[in-house]
Parts: sequence; C-alpha cells; structure tokens
Amino acid sequence: MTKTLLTSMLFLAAAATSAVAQAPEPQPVLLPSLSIAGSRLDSTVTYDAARRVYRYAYTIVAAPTNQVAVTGFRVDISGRTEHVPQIDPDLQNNVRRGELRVRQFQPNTALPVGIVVPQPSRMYCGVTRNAEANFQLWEEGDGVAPGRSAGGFVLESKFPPSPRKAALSPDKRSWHTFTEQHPPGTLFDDSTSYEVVTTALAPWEPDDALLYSGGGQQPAEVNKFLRYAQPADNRLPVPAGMSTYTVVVFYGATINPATFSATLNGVDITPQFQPVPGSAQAVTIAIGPGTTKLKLSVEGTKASGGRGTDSDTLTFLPQ
Amino acid sequence: MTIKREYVPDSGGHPHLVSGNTTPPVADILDIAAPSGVTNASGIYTTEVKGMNIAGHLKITAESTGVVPGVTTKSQPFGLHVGFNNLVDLAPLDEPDLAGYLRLTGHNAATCAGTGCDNHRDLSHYAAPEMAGFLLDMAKEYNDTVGPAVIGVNDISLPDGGLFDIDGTWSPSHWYHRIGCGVDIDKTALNPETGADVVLDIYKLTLIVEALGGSKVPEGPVHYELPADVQDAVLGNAGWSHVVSGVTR
Repeated sequence: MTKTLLTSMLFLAAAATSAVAQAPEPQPVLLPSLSIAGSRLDSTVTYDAARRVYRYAYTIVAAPTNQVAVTGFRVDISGRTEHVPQIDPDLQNNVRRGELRVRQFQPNTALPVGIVVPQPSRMYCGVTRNAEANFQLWEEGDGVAPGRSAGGFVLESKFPPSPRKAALSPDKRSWHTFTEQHPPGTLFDDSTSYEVVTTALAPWEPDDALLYSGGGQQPAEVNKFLRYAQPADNRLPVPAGMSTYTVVVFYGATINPATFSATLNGVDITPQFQPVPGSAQAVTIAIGPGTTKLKLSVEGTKASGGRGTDSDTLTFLPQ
Repeated sequence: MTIKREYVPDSGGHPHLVSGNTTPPVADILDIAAPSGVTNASGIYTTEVKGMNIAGHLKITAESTGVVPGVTTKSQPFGLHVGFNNLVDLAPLDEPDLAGYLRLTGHNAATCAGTGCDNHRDLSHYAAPEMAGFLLDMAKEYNDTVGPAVIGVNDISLPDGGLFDIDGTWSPSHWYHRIGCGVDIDKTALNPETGADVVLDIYKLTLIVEALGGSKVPEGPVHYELPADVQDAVLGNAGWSHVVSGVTR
C-alpha cells in the first residue's frame, strides 16, 4: 500500500499547475468603452551636434471620434546593455525623477533619458519598470479631448532614433466611477485595454545586425557609410495612399558631410539632411502615388586611409 | 482499495469563525482521477491526482476489504497539503519603512473585531515575496508625488493561497486573491501628519502602480495585481504546488 500511495503523490506534481483554472469563473460585468482608436502619437527628432544629444518631441493627436480623452503615452526605451547611472546630468530634465527621490523602478538596461514637459507639476513622468518613458497628464480635465492635440513632450537622449513601440492611454476615470457603483467583489470584464499601440521615434541602442546597409557597394566598410534603422530593404512596398515615409539614416563616423547628396525622384533634397558623422537622423520624405526613388550618396574614409563612396537607392512601391 | 480524503479543520487559512461552515468539499482541494480500483500483482495502484482551487491539509488513507475478506483494512494516514508555497505574511509590519507608509487593514485582529470580517482574521495578508517591495514603492511614490498618506492594505491571500472565500461559503468571492499577487487597497488612508483620514486619489495611485509594472483589476473598488512577469514566475516556478508531509506505513 505504501508504494501505491507514493506513486499517486508523484503524479500530483505533473498535474498541479492547471489547478487555478478549475474553479468556475463568475460572469463579469462589461465595462464602458474607452475607445481612442484612430488617435496618433507624432514624433520628430533633432540632433544637437554640440551636445551630442538627440531631442525627441512628441505630439498627441486625439481622434475626433474618441469616447474619452487621451491622458498620455509610453514609449519603449529599453536597451541591450546596462547603463549606469540611469540619470545623465547632460540631459535636460524638468520633471521629478523617482530614481532620485524614491527608488529606481526601471532596469539598468533602459536607455538614460531626460524628460521635458510643458507643465511638469501637472504631469506624472518617468521611466517605468518595463523600461518605457512615461508621460501622463494626471490632473482631471488635462487629458487631450477628442479632436484636439497637445505637444511639447520631449525626451532627450544620447542614443539615436529608431521606430519603437508606443502606446497612447485613454482616460480611465469613468471606469473607476463605474466600478464604485457596484458592490465589492463584483467581477468586471476589462479584457479590452483600449490603449492605442503604435510606433514612434525613440532612443534606440544600435545593433549592427539590425541596421540595413542599403545594399550595393563593396567592400563592406564602404557600404556602412550610410545605414538605415528604417527601411530594412531597398525595395519597400508601402500601402496605397501613403503620402509620407520616415527614413532613419545612420551616418558613418568617417563620412565627409560635404560630399553628401540626396535626391527624391531626381529632385535635389540634400538640404533636408544634416549628415553629422557618427550620428543618425530621421527624415520624412513625400511618397507619390507611383514608384518613389530616394537616392543617397556620401564619400567616406576607409580604415586603410583610402576613400570610397556609398550610394544607396531606396525604392518605395505603393501597393 | 479506495483512497479516502479527509480535510484537516482550519487548514489553509479557512477558520470560518462566523459561518461555521468548516468542511469544504474535498474534491475541491484534491481531485483523484480514480479514487478506487484494484492494485496490480505487485500491490501497486496508480492514478492521477490534481490540486484544485481550495488550499488545505488532507489526511489520506487507503482502505481495502480485499486483504482480509469481510474486514476493512486501513493504511496508516499520511498528510498531503495543497496550496502555494512561499507566501509570506506581511503582518506584523515591523520594518520601519513599511510601518511608515502602509498599514494592514481588514481581516487583522487589530482592526477587525466585528462580525463581518473575521472568517479569515489574521490570515488575509499572505503574499508573494515581491508584494512587500511593490507596496512600499507604491506608497513611497504616492507620498512623494501626491501627498502624505499611510495607505491601508486590505486583503491579499490566505496563508496557502487558493480560494479566498470571505463569506465562508467555499465558493468564489475574492476571485483574484489566490496566488498572493493581488491586493486590495483601502480608499481611505491616514494622514500621518494630522492623524486624519484622507481619501486616496485612486486615479493617480493607479498610474503609479502601472509605472511599477502592476495593473488595476476592476474587482471591487481598488484591487491591484503585481506585474505579469512576477505572476508568471509564481505560477510557473513556485506556483500552485504541493507539500507532502508524513509517510504512510
């Protein structure tokens, strides 16, 4: 009999983890919609060559059809390696930073940032445990109403741009009001988050393996004078009707800026680019209804001391 | 032979002082796929058992009328415990940091002398080890950004997790309070400077919780959950598990 029971005990471990799902779940009460679908987070980035700092500026654009205000957003600033300390005194910051006053929430792999906002005393900002830059308008009535926009939300970073995950937050105050009208213990259906998940330009820890060379030149080091975080191919299908595209170009450390040129369907657009060696830039170009060709070229110095020219043609193909 | 399960009274954090309904359905603690059958030629009997949704101690015995015909033969009992390992009791809050920012409320002896909440007196603040730090960060951040408040921490989980039936009925009421990762927060806090009650700004507190990786679950007025990766770790590593004590002879 001993063996019998011990055998049974061994089976317990294998089956144990499904136990939580065994109890019948009570029927939840549906929460009111907080839809902010169609809202956008616009982003631009500039580079301060003197300080070697990128300045990311964000604007919340609330869709007219929103059912509640947009109260803020989060942008992924996770990195690949540790960055200690997380506070960089070279970066401008006008918000209270929990890292200095309470405790650091974020992992050390978050990219150090400065945060500058229009009304710091009326916002909750910082870096979250999930390594996101967090901008929240937390005073009642400060949210961005349907059909309105609000800007001036800035991240400063020494890390170059790339399209990164971002999320716009709906005002959840109506949920708090709604739930308080029900007795304690009531279960609510909150399976729909109503956050708008999108992409925005944000600091990124460069990964050589993820930068696209643009194709073309040999040797490989010449082909790295111009590289791209976006696009990842030199022939890029784009949705029909798309009118703009943001190219994120990384300039090699040994390029000669004076030799840089850019044309869009044959038209010189060189002035739109500021090719600072070793920096990156996001440039938004117009996409026509037909095929659009962006040609970039720059000369640089090879490790041998010789010179080479990297020329890339990025072709956008409306589908 | 037949495998018998007997619940050990008050185990798993279910004293049920008010309801007096002290005997749970044992099948809700431990499911035995085939509780009776015939052993093989070596005297071995195999079946699958599964921990269910109520935590507690069980006394397990095996009975047979086949060993001596007409006589019931019983094995020595052995203890089997179904529940979550590693939940820690937040009471008392003896860390200076915790005591300055948090107070335990609800089902603890100091504040719960009435008849409405003593089904689980002193047993409702068991939590995953990460909970204390999470609550402290939350409370410090709130004090630093919103205003002074000693925040009331209400129900978390029973000592071994599992069903937290605040009504003493062995049926769900506190649905999320099972693995030590969910906590109720009182809407009213204590202003440590004036001694007066203050109403918490739940909207701001929730934004702080979200910055900490947690989330608000709309079960009742104010219920927060630890970050999803912490919950995954509790469920996957230390999770709903078993502790076997005693041996049979």
